[in-house]
Amino acid sequence: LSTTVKQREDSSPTGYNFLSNRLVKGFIKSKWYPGILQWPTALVFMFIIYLFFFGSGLGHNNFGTALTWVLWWPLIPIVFVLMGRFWCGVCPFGSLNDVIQKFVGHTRPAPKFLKTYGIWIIDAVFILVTWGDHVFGMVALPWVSGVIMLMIGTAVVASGALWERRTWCRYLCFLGGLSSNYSQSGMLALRGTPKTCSKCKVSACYKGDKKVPGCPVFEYPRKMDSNSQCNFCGYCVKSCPNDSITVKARIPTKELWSIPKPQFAAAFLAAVIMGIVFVQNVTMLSIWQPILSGIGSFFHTSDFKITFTVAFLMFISAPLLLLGITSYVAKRFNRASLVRNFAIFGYAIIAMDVAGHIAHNLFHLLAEGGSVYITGATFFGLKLPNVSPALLNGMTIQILQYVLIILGVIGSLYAVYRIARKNFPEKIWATSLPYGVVILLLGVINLILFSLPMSMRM
Amino acid sequence: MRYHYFRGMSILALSLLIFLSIANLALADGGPHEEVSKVDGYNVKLNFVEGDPQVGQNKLKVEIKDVLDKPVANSTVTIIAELYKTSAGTSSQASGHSSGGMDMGEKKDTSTENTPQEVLVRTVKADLMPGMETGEYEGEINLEETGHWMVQVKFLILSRERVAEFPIDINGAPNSLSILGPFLIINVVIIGVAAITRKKRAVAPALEEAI
Repeated sequence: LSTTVKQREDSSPTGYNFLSNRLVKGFIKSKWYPGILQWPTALVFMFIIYLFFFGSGLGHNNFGTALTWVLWWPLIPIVFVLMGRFWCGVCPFGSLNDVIQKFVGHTRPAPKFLKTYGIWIIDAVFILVTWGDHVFGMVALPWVSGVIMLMIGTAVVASGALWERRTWCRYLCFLGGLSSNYSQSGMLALRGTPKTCSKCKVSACYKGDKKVPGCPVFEYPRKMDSNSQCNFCGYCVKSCPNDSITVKARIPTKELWSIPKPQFAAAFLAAVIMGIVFVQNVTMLSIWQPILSGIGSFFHTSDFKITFTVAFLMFISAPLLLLGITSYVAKRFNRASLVRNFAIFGYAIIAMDVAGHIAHNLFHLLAEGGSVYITGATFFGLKLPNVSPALLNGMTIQILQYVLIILGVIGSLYAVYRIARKNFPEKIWATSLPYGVVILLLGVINLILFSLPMSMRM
Repeated sequence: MRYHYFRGMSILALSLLIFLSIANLALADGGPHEEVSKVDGYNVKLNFVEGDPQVGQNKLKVEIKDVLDKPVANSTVTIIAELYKTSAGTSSQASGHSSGGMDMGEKKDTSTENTPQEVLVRTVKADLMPGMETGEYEGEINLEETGHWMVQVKFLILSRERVAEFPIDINGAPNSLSILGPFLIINVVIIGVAAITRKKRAVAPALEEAI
């Protein structure tokens, strides 16, 4: 037991403990948290749903579209990096799940099938939603965004009515899958204090007590070695009788190389996200039309759904294939299986995913961000003089994008090195080298894509 | 172990199929939309490649064939889309858009007091570029509103301009209540069934699961 405690102490984050601040701790322990943040978020969400259906029918005039796809969507990966899955703690779908569960929930255990394969369903839905964004015009047509939200809402109601805690958030939410990956490169970590927890007999953090529910995402802080699921709801902070919980700052990406049980599906999603970043960028470039035309003439079709689907599959499979081939090469050096290599080194791509995702959305946020107040003013009947939606000029945005991509490449390269050092101490460089080449290649592709002029979507 | 990954991949594929079917049912628009018109023996085919015309950007493909059914290359093709709305008849901007030919966009004063008129409210123009196949021209046009659009394909052959007209109706978003209604019913049914069949609260899940 003492060895385990020692190991946990060694792997625990060592940064500043935010709960050592009386104000922060008091706020998280108060009965107002997280409800004081959940309810306003839910109200804004309901307003956005109203705007999707009863606002302007055209995406670039719709205030709800601007709030969702120009403001929230670009900010959310930044939140994941800074605060892990904090958003999931205040997400309106999570709150809806809690309300349904409270009044009519059957609180059945989450099915084993979901626990084992839920992450694959998450992967599938994530791919589908991104595909649907282009094929059905999710951003261009507000009502389509509304239908997607209602579909998710209905699934959340069903999950909340049937299963215990936040089964939806943990095993089915596609945004949860994304946030789970991204928050592993995040700067905030919640953990129990190993020494204190080793003497604990009540486990209130997991089970809850008379006043506070147990962990909604089925985490046990005493055993936590990853922040991929924690949504900082603060229940464990409230219920722990030993004051054992800490919320500490840590080096971004640190978790990527210290995961004890890497999941193949999570690594798969990391590679898919890289491909999706490529798709999102390419569709905004002038080379997109020739690519579609080329595919169309190859398959003798002008059906956009077909040509887009082929292009989409090509782009999302490219990083998967690259990672697969590299894992095969690495296997020859480190003698681990292809699947194991893929699973452990796939996590290294997450740093680049986050950087690519933020860099892409930075364009929407900074080049189109003004559309939030322009559409907002129009909705409330105010007339603004001719104002540009751009918050910064193109050159500045491009420089920020390059900086982000370079940071992502550095993060991924360092993660590759640390993963190799941890898992293959005898073959560090032989294993790191092929993955390093792939990371650099992906970085160069990203830099080229960001160097080309992009078209706006609002 | 391999079986586990194979099963995972199968679930991914199956989930894709299921969600694709649901999404298609909820959002499908029925494939590319194609219309044909004849001008001076030329066969002009207008294709909205992403399906039915919709509010916002629409990808277009125009195919032009001559009287011998041979594709016409090296033509300059321009699309002009005009949005018409019915007014109470007091406007002086009414335009008889069926007149066709070269006078499109010119406003004729054909208004009559209290007689419904088709009023031109917006004109959008886009130049098409030669496509992959001979006789094909591609581009995008932004149809910014719902309503009755007259899409005109202007093409220049041997210094003579011809115009093919295509009346297009864009219905825009379906009635919001017709979307919200079914979702409301489904959710009420789920909540109702859950409330009726609910037993006493289950105990907390076994701690062993988390360990």
